[in-house]
Amino acid sequence: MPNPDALPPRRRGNRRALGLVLLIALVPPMALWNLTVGSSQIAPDVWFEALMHPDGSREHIVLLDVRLPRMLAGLLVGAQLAVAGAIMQAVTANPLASPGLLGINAGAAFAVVLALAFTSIDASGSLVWFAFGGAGVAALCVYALGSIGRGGATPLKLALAGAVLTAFLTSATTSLLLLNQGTLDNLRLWAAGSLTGRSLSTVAELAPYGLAGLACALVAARPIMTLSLGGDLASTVGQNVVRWRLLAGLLVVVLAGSAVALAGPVGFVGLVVPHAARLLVGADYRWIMGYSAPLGALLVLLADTGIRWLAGIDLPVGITMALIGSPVFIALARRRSGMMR
Amino acid sequence: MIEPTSPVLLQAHDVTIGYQGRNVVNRLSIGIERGRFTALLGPNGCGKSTLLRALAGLLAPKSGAISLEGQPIAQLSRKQLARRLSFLPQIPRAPDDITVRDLVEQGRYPHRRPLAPWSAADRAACTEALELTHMVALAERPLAALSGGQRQRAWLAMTLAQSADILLLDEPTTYLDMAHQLELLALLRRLVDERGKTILAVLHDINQAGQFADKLALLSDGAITSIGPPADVITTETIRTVFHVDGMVLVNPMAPCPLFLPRTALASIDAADDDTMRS
Repeated sequence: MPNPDALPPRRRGNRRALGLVLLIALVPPMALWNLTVGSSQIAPDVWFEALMHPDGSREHIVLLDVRLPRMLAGLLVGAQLAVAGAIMQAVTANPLASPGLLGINAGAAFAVVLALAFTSIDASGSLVWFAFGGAGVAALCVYALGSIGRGGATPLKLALAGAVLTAFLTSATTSLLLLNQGTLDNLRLWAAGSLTGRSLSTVAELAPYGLAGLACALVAARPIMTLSLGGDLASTVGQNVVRWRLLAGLLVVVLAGSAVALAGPVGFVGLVVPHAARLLVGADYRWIMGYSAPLGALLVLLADTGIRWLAGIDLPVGITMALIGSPVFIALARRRSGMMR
Repeated sequence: MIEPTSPVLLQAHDVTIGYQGRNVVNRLSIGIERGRFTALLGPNGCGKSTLLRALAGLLAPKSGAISLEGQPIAQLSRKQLARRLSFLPQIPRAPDDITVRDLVEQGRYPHRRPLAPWSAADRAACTEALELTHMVALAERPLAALSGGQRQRAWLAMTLAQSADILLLDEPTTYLDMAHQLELLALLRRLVDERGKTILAVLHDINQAGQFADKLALLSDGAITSIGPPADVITTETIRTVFHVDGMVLVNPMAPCPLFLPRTALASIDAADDDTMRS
């Protein structure tokens, strides 16, 4: 691999910008592919018909009510979880930090299922606040658990605390789903992480949170880059570290929480994508975050479409992502085991 | 040389600093004079780093006050403080794959407003910092690809890019070989003489400190035992008390300051060593 850092700064910046444009340009074709593949193949030209002049035919209804929200959900969830993962890796200086591994997705999912099981709330716009609450409480718990003992919140202790909390919350969520079989039947797919069954109005209700989160992440990219230097150094160059860590945490909660409210706890996106971005652009978190958004959207859409196209089965995207992500996770853990301690 | 005293810029007044119940620095007062190179020396575990961190505003003293030109630094925001004062920790850490240039640009953090573009002043400060530390040719290299000495210079470049008047440096010569140590100390000397910077650096070699610094401060058990021009501080008595080392003070044929020639460590070194086991 040619070393991108060997280039003079101007050219390096240009190359990174070109790469970002390329990645963004790949998103529409990927989205279109996602729309065409399914139990019935629908040609792209029918698509334009359906968008411009919907005639209520079965094909058009499938496209607009089933596939369009599914594609949009994939787009949002991928970008949101990937950027959330990048922020977490920057703030904790932990290569294994991600909303999935540190229990934030599981916390959001548990809170949503809790609300559905014990309250009469079922509007996505209200449930998302439970997701935020669950994500926030889970983040605080993992940080508190991981900080116990010598050396504070080391990467290894955080990852272990996250694993423990995820295991606990996932089984609690499953228990709730099993106990309330009748009402929560349609939730079981969601709890595995799935893009299906979302209506266009659900997507429209949740998208503002995700888009606002992504916009804030873009604005905060520079301070987040400075946070990635570590607390001491960030303070030395004049950063209010406590304030920015809190803000970054809040951003993660909004991004991951609304992603979970939309598609359930989809794992590994937040872990794998920032690493891929880092391979492409180096250690600069401004670029890592920029690359993570389109890469995350591409990965989730690819996982969702690819399995349908290859195997002809409609697997929840959370499961496909686990199939892709687990080997990558093991590779990362092995490669980085030296700096885990 | 210049006048014997200069106005105090950074002052610790009667500070007690410590971690969880254990006091490392006890009721210490020190004034860092403007436009001077002050070297802070002392045995391991005597509280040098702790004092430096407190002066940099990273550690709040349990009692007493630290002030910058009369204003308590606790009243300044991190950003305001960072524009006036920069600090280089003993073992700074950053992501391995960050390039020297990206690191140095981080030094501009306190001067930048949110969303404001990279300014000409930012660019000039970074270029100058890279030039002063001879890091221009290595600017695009990742930190992990550098030798210990080059990495130390990259860190110093980041500190310089901050354009602060006061530099607090914790053992800046640690990873350097002898040539690079002298080069770095000469650079610090030049920053004081030509740019009017105020430097407080923790150093280990008392003879190097005597050669390059205007003032030496000896710290022992969290208290200043001796402070003043090298000629006043480098005596067999002070070094015996502070470092538990026996030796001779000679006339330095190359510099106007005395030269200390160590002979042997005194028995009480064991007691001093126990002290360093903390943390």
